Amino acid sequence: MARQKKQIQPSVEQLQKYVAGKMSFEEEHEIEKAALQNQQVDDTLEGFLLLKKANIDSEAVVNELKKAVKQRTQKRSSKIVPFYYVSAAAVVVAIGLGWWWTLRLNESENAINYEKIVAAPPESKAQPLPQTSKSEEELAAVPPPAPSKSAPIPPRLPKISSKKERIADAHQSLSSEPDDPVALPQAAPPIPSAAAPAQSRLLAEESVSFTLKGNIIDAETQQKIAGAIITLGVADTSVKSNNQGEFILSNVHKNQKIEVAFPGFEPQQYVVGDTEEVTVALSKSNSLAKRSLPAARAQAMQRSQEPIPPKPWKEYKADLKKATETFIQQNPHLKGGKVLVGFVVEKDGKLSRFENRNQADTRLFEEAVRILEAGGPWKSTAAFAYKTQIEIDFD
Amino acid sequence: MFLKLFRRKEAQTDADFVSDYRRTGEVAGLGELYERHIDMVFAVSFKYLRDEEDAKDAVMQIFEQLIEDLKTHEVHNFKAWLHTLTRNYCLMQLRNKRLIVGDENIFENESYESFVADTTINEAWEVESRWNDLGDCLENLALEQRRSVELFYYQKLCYQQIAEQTGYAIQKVKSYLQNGKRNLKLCMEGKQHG
Repeated sequence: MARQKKQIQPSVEQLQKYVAGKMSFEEEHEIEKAALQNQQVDDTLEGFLLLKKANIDSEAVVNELKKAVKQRTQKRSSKIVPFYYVSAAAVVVAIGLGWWWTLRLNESENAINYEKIVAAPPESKAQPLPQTSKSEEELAAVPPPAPSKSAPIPPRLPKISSKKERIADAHQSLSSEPDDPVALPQAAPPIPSAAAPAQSRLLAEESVSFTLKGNIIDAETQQKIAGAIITLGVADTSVKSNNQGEFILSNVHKNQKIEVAFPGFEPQQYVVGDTEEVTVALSKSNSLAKRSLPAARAQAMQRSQEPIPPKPWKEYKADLKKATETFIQQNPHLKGGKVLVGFVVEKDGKLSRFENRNQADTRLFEEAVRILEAGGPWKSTAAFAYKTQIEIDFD
Repeated sequence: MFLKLFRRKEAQTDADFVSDYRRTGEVAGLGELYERHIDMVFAVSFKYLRDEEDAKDAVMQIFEQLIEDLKTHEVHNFKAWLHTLTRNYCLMQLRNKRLIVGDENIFENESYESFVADTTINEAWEVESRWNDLGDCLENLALEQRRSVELFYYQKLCYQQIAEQTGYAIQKVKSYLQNGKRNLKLCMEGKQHG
């Protein structure tokens, strides 16, 4: 009598045959019986029925999905190989960029020279007019005075014409009033002497931005410090020193401030001078309280960007405990236990992708998820979704 | 060599794949295993989510979850476990959606009900050993449930035939059977314990 029922599950093909209505009544009965016995068969069968009802070609979709899964698995395994190519490409790009920068530097030096030539002789009243107006004549439409004096300059013009135009633009934007040619000689001299700050900044940007290389060392031990945060002035760009304690900052100008910070050390400020290579020595800090913002940030980056619960941990844990206790009180028939909930904190702090990591009782797990969700969004410090887990104890 | 590798895999069981993955951490093998059951995962996802795109997303997301979970979980019956994983994932999706949409839609479809009800009736069902109790319990069932159960299990008819004979809708036949089965089981258990 105790006939051991073999749980033969119908195959996907059989289920599809059933859905298509191509089975005898006996066969249909067997499928239905299997479905009544096994939730998985039942779910699958119902899914197929609904798919048919919705007129969805499940076979086509499944093929598409199979391809996607293949791609997914290949992506991972092939990632290791192109890594070499990527690093090779990075080196090439770095060399290219370096070459470009030196080229740019040379070019801007030419521009400075030119600027000096233009600006140099403000003593004689006759000269400034033709020289400044030479670069402005297209814009201000001042009739060209006798060009004999400015004759030596034009040959240089074509080479750096793009620079010249930009400078000329600046000239115009700053000295927009000098419509009358008499005002020009007076207005002209101050411009090259960097009296107008915008002008000088523009010139600085045009001319003396360079790439700063540096080493970060421990002042006491002279050891290299890796992972120090180097922050550049107002622009708020920051880089990290590499394993050799080296860093490279591009687009640096003279007189810009650089701050170097590393946890446990006094942050060090450095004003960019003419040198393109610099060594910054950090000394150990005595008090933790003194840490400046970049230092704090450096530490935050070290702390691997863990998300923070809506309340301080202690309070949050207490809340969780309270919630679980009420739940158990309301559901005394349930056996308590621990639920290890894995979840993802999205960028906006929302929680998603809950997982029942220790295969706990489904009802406990669902309640745990409900409690977590009721707790509100977390504070995400990461730039991307962060996967984490928490243990919730129902006892 | 590659061919040999391939041929060996041909005969692999689900359990082989799982232990291979746990040993090597290679997702390619896991992908192969997943493809075996991808029809089931998609169908089940569609059953719960009722949306093609959502179901497709679910299939991919569940695979990601699989990659993680299989590392830590001991799995004996992969297909059953995968089904549970799929269902839990979908219910979680529905739950998230419910927070935005509101309750009604999800509770209307009977699938949710069957989920709540099913957990107890999964195991093999030993009716045959207790005929007497069964007869009593059958008598206590609601008429529709009793007729459906008798026609299905005794006369081995399929849903469609039962529907034709009784005039019940096919969907109803199914739920009569499910509920009838559950009630029978509860009734039998009650008899056994006292």
